[in-house]
Amino acid sequence: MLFNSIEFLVFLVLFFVGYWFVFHSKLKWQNAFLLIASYVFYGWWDYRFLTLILLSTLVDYYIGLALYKSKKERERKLLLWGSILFNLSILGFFKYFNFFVDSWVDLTHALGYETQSTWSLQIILPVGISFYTFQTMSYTIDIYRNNLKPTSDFISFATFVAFFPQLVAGPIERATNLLPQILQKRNFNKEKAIQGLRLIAWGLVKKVVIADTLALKVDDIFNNYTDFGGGVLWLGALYFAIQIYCDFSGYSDMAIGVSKLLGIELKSNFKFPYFSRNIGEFWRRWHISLSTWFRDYVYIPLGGSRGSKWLSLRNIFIIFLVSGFWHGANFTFIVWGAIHAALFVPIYLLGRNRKHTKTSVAQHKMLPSFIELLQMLSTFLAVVLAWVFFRSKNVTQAIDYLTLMFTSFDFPPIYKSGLYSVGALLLIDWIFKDDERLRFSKLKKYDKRFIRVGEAFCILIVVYLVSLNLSSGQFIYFQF
Amino acid sequence: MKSFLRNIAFYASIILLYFIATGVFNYNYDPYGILGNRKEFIGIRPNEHSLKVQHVLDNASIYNSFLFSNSKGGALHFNQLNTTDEKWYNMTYSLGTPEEFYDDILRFLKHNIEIKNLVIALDDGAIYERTSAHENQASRKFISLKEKKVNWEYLFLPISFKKMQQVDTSKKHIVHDVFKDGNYYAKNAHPSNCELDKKPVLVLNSDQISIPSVGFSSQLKIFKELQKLCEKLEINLVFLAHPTSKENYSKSTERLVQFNKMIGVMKNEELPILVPFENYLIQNDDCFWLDRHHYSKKIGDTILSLYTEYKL
Repeated sequence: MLFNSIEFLVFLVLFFVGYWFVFHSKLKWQNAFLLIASYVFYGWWDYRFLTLILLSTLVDYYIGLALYKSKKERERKLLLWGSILFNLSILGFFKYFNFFVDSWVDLTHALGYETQSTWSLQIILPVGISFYTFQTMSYTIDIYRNNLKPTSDFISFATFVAFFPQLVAGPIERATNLLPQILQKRNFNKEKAIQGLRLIAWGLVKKVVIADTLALKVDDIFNNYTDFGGGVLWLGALYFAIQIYCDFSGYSDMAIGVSKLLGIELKSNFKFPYFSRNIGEFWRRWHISLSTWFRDYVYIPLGGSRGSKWLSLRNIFIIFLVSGFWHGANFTFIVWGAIHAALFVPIYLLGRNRKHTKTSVAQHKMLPSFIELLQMLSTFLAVVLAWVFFRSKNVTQAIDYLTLMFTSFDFPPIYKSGLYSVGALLLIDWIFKDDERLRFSKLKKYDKRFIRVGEAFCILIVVYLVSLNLSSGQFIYFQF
Repeated sequence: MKSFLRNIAFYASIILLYFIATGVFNYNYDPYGILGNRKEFIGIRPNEHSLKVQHVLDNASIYNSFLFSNSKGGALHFNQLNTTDEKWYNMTYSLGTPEEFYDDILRFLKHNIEIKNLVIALDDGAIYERTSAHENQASRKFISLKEKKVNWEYLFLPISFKKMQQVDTSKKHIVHDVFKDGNYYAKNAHPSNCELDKKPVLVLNSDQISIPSVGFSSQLKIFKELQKLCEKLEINLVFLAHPTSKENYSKSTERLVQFNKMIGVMKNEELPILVPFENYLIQNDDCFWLDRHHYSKKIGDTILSLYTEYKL
């Protein structure tokens, strides 16, 4: 079920009524209802996928309890690795099996051996598998580290794993944040619910109005890149940067918004990443739930930046390469990760990677300084060029595409109309940049009637824009 | 919660009112013809692509020869060449692309339409107009009307005040004849002093600007697929290059140079292409041009006679 579909609207209305008016009196019932609804939501794609999520839930539930009870370090380690191996196995099989088989065949071919790819299988990638496996893994790791007490309430744990607003495309939640909220009685909060509706509306606009319209241009440009000149290819790369941002952050906004309607707070996943002043800041603002997951569960256990410079550099490369590989079974994602690592290393060596952690660009100001503008533009340019690898079918195509971007300028830049969407998005993001949760607390001092008229006007604009683009598509991040 | 529900009711009523208004407007006015409530398109552009495909499918036994073109083909009234064996339909639609034409032809064949003649008319739009751009354009997106269902997105499209304005039939306007021959009929478009035997002024295109050729891989792929298909089914296929006005050439030189390069590549690839007026541009004149892009029926008729000669 897609957030931008009529089915989901009906589902959400019915669910909201049941959640707050029928099952609200008892937490157990409310959680059971939330769990069933989450399974319906997920099973809507393919009910067979439910077996995997159930299996993952059962394994991590029991391992979590056993880990907590066990006092022997060796046994605890075994249990932890059992959970990690189980989750990585299902992820590896469904997402990476064919990639490894095909890569092996290619390698043996390159070495002069004739091998047949008889091991490749017709495997369907279950939606959101990378998200929920990472979520359940963090649960057992946190218990192992004594950062979390496991729950014995299976329904609540299963609800934490399958919580429908963020199940298929994140944000990847930690049990330390989400589980206590599921275990506690939730009360309806009007302010938060209204804020949730705002986030849903803004997410919908980003997805349906911006991402989906740019997607048509991006697909055409990348699929026929040899037919265009550099001007169009630059537009294609720029549009993809905006498309993937609007697609993914739009989904996260809607997920956070829907959760707010249910009285649950999710962590932020995007904080205006294209206004970053260096690549370190970009990664603190882009897909935050994934980058912090890798930081806490891969980078720090590897030693982080505590060891020698070489060890730290190795860790930086590992985390970026793994992060790239997480996105998909293709060398393009690995190269994309490597490029980001290469961009990160200089600022790390200069000790500037922790710069800009406290403040955002032009904080509480209307415009950035000239230096900030240059920093933002150069970071954005580097990110846009790296996206070419992310979007291309293979590494060769990406290199060809980049070469043509810089060598061929003789084609009239058709597809310029997409620049309106890009400009509008960046302008609105700039206005919202100090308030990513759309609290609009500054508006509280104004007359309520004035606010209502403003809201009505905004709703009309949203409905108008969405109705122009009613037939929209799937979210990009579902495939990861 | 009560106050929240009151808010929701307020928002929902706005949304509901919006959709009621657009629904009532679109159902009654049906500017694109997709909802089946409009059959005449005087000075208003319907979703010709979908309507024309459906019209052909509904009249599978009537037509066996087709012109596919973007809007320039509206003046090519191929039905004037109708014989007892050959019945033409003009599949012209605004900004149509070869990729779409190919899909339509496959659709016709799938529905057992016997095709004898195909003319695929091209201009620089074959390079620069992209099919994907039509996906979110109400007048160009292809909608299969075979299935009898309500096309909700057309029912709730925003109200177009421009479309609501009635056409002043005493002024220059186009009539889109979807349900008879597919032609465009330009009304009040020509000055009264256009003599029947007046000839267009041809200007030799001596422009020698040198720009590198872009790849035409996606276009050539479709042209060759078409050629292969037509050879297999013994369909008489002709690619036709639309002529260009002098004014249009001077305003879109680079695009038209690339188009001429594409014609050259097509000739090298031995694709059957008819280029009326070859390397000549046509002087702009109200008797021959509706605007700088679209030629009149007078030019269209000349092209028809050149086509007849080419076929022989």
